[in-house]
Formats: sequence, C-alpha cells, structure tokens
Amino acid sequence: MSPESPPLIDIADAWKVYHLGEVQVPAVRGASLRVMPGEFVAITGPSGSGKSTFMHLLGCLDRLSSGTYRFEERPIHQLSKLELARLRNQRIGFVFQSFNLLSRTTIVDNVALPLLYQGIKKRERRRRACEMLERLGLGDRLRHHSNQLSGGQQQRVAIARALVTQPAMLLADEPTGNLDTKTSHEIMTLFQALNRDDGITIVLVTHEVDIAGYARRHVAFRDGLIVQDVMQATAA
Amino acid sequence: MGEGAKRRVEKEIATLGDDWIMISYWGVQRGGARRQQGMPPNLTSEDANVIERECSAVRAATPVNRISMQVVSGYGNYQTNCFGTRPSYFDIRRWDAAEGRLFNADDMRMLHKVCCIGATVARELFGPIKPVGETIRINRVAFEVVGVLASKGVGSDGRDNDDVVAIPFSSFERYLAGREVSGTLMAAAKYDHDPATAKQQIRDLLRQRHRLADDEDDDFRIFDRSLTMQANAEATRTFNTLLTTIASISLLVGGVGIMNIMLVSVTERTREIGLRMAIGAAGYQILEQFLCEAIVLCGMGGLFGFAGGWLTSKFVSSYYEWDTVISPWMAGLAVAFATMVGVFFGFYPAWRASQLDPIDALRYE
Repeated sequence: MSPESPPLIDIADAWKVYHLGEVQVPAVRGASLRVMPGEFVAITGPSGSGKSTFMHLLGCLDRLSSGTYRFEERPIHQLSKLELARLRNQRIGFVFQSFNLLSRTTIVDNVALPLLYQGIKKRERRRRACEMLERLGLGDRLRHHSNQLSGGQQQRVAIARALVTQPAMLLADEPTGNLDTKTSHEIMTLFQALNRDDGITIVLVTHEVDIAGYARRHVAFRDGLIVQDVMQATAA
Repeated sequence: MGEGAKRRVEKEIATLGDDWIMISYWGVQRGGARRQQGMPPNLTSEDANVIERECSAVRAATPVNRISMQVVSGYGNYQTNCFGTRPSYFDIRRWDAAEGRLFNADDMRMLHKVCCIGATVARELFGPIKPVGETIRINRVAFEVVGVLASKGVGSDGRDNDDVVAIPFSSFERYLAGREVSGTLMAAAKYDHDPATAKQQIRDLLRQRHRLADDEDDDFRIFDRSLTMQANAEATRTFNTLLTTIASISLLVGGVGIMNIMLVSVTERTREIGLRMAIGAAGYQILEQFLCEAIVLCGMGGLFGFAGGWLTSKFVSSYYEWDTVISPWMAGLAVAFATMVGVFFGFYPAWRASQLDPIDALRYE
C-alpha cells in the first residue's frame, strides 16, 4: 500500500452515548482511529470498555452520537439507514461469536444470503457461494444444514458468507469465543492467510491475548477510550 | 350455500310448476250476509276462455273442477281427488306424463272417457302393475288410463300433488259432475311476463265480466305462490346474511390469529432478523419477507379452506339433497380474501420486524 492512499477507516472524536431513562451512559468517549487498507487490527479490552460499541460503529450498525466517521471516504455519519444497509451489504463482512447461521437452510443458501439482498439472480448466487465455500475447504458439504456441522466448520461457513460479497473489510466480533483452542487457532490462521494473500482488511475484537497475537496492530480500549495503539510481531 | 338455497327454491318452482295463479269463487258481503257456497257458481269455463283470449300476459287458463270420489280398479279402490280440466292444465302446472300420454284436445272434443292418474293413485290402485291401458271406474263410469303423471311429491303446503285423477273437462261434466260446478280457474303467466301483471289483468277482466261497481269487493279470490316465494326469498336472504356474518367473524378471528402467529414468529426470529440486517437487508426487504410469509400462510389457508368447503358442500349435497353451488368466482374470491387478510394482519408484525435495531436484534436471546 502506498502511503498516499486514503485510509479505509477514518474515525475522529467518536462519541456514543446511551440514554437509559434520565441517565446518560457514554460507552465511547472520543475515540479516534485510522485504518489503512490491508491492515489486520485487533481491538482488545475488558468487557464494558466500549470495544463492542466501537465495533458496531465501525460496522455501520450504529450511529455516532458525535464525531465523524469516513469509510472509504464516505461520510458514514451523514448516511441514511437504507444507505448504511447497502454499504454493510456491499463493503463490510461480519463474523460473529455465535456464527449466526440460519439452521433450517443449507450452507450454500446461508452463504448466498448477502447476495440475495444485492438482487443477484439465484443461479449466480449459488455459483458464487459454492466457489467461496470450496475456497474455504467446505466444497464437500454444500447441501448440509448448518446444524450438521462442527463449530469450526460453522465459523468457516460464516466467514464464507462474510467474504462472498468481496467486501473491503472483515469485521470479526470474538470469532473464536465459542470454539476450542485448536479450532480457534485454525480459524485465526485462516484470517491471517486471507489478510496476507488476499489483502483483505480485518478488524478483530477479542479479549483473548493469544488470539489478538495474530494481528499486527493492537488497539486497546479502556473506559471508552483508546489507551494503546501499537504495531507488533505476529504469532504463528 | 346461500346460492344453493336460492337455486333450490327456483328449481322447486320450476319442477312443481308453482307459478300458477288460482282464481276461486268467493262469497261477497251483500247487505250484511255472505253468499254461501252452494249458490250458483260465478266462475265458468267461459271466464277461462275470455281470460286466455284477452289477457296478454296469460299463457293459458282453464277451469279446474274437483270432486272427491271413490275410484275402483280391478285390483283395489281408493278415495281421491278427481279433476275435470283442460289439457292446458298440464302446461300451467308444468306437468308431464311419466308413462303413456297426457289427454289432449281430441279427447276433450270427442268426450273420450280417458284419464291421467298421479303416482300415488297409480300405486294405490295398481301396485306393481303398469296402469296405462287399464280401466278404472269412477262413480261406476269406466275410464281408460292413458297416462301416469310424473311425480311431483308433497308440495310445500303439505298436500300430496300425486294424489289426483285428471279427466278431460268435457267428459268430467258429462259423466261425473252432471252440471257446471266450476268454482275454480287456474292460469299461468307467459314465461317472459311478470305474474303480477297477469294477476292484475285477470282481476280487471273478471270485475268487468261480473259487473262489479268500483266500490264493490271482488266476488272471487286470486291466489298465487308469489307471497310464499317472497317469504322463501326473504328467508334465503336472512340465511345469506347470517352466513356472511359468521364468515366475517371467522375471518376476523383467523386474522387476529395470523397476526399473533406472525408476531411470535418475529420475536422468535429476532436474531435472524438482526443477522439479515447486519449483512445488508434493508428495512423494506425484511418487511417484504415477513409480509410474503403471512400472505403465503393465509393463501394456503384459503386454499385448504376452499377444499374443505368444497368437500363439505359435496357432503351436504349428497346427504341432505340440498344443491350447493360452487361458483369459480366465489372460490377465487375466497382465496383472494384470505390473502388480503394475510396482507392486512401480516403487515403490523412485518413492520415491527423491519423496525428492529440490528444490534439489539443480534444480541437478543
């Protein structure tokens, strides 16, 4: 990446304040972050530190109370709900702790789901979903339902779903939280490979230090503020 | 079903020939005393001729004289109603011969001693034997049976229509009655004319022939089935309203049920909705999805309901001899209406789903 290229994420003085009745609870209190394309960032912090809220802001799932957020130079803080939905659909891939697959649906259809909301024809959706699943080593389980798969396989399906739209960024919220250690490391190795070989920007939220170790850049949250932002050598 | 009931009434009128008009002798108040029966008859066969000739809305008119008499065959005897009437009587009452033939104008002119007997009389006098060609004696006069009338069954007035022996009017007068005893005429309106018009024409004509002053009451009475028919139509209408009301209430209850099911479905699938939103479903796309589900649910319900209704009506038809009519447009309407119920009651749950916040929905346990 050339240093002149614009940042993928440019969030400045971001505040998020929740109103619980009379009380105002600030979850994020003026955080600023820039992420360049191709980076692999781990956001860490204890629970209640505001890291999850911050990730929701990054993922365009939530709106800033104040501050500015530019994603690929688009002013996110000014977009409508519909425009946010379109942006999430096309530019951002989500991976969740609990996979969030539709259990009564085959894994192909699970992976093809984001393409449905782009208005792509069924055959083309299927083709692209199969292609992505084969790349992630699930080519032999296309017709399975997600509840017939192991946790690691389910998370791979979720990753395939996140990647099928060829997004600019992958947002992973505790992706290994429901997996055993061995599977966790397999999944993290996969993330690393995707980042290294395909140049996909990855933002990972975790509270496990060894999982965060797979990322090159560490951002630590405490009490709604970024208290540390360092580059480091990666694990594995 | 309502339509079936209507058709049933119409069919009854058509098969029973219940569109007749009966004009009968009626005593009239004169100086405080009512003329009693036994007085000279004031409705004659000539009246029938004139009615047929002059009333443009009448297709046929005939005298009908009735005497209750003992009838004897070679196999039994039976007390029944003997009618002396003209061949047009069969047209007025839309009556056909089931076996043999009806008597005709020749029989009238030639004073043939022939008769047509009703199904009940045939059964009583002949049992299993074919009556056509047999002879019966009425008041010791022999009549040949030329036809058995098609059975009309028991009328809505409770009288057995088939308990009858019909004899040409001329023979009846000559051999049985001995004199003109006419107290009754029967007529029927032309098929494309209003029976009420025919009634009015007959009344005007008879008043004129009987030289009644404007302030005098009729000395005859005209009966027809229009009042009964009106009552039938009224009953059918009431019945239809009742059915419609019940159907509407069921639809409302069903619709509220659908809404509840959909609300439960939306609640149960909150996480799914959150996920769909996170991966880029717009609010309207969620709305579409749930609305479609409600519509499909109700459309299927409509189809099943229609199938059930169809079977039930077949059952009703075959076990209660009650014609039910299933019109295609009604089937279409039913399914379309069910679908509309789906749209109406599915909209609120679908809208609720579309308004969920993706983060809250994803976190929902």
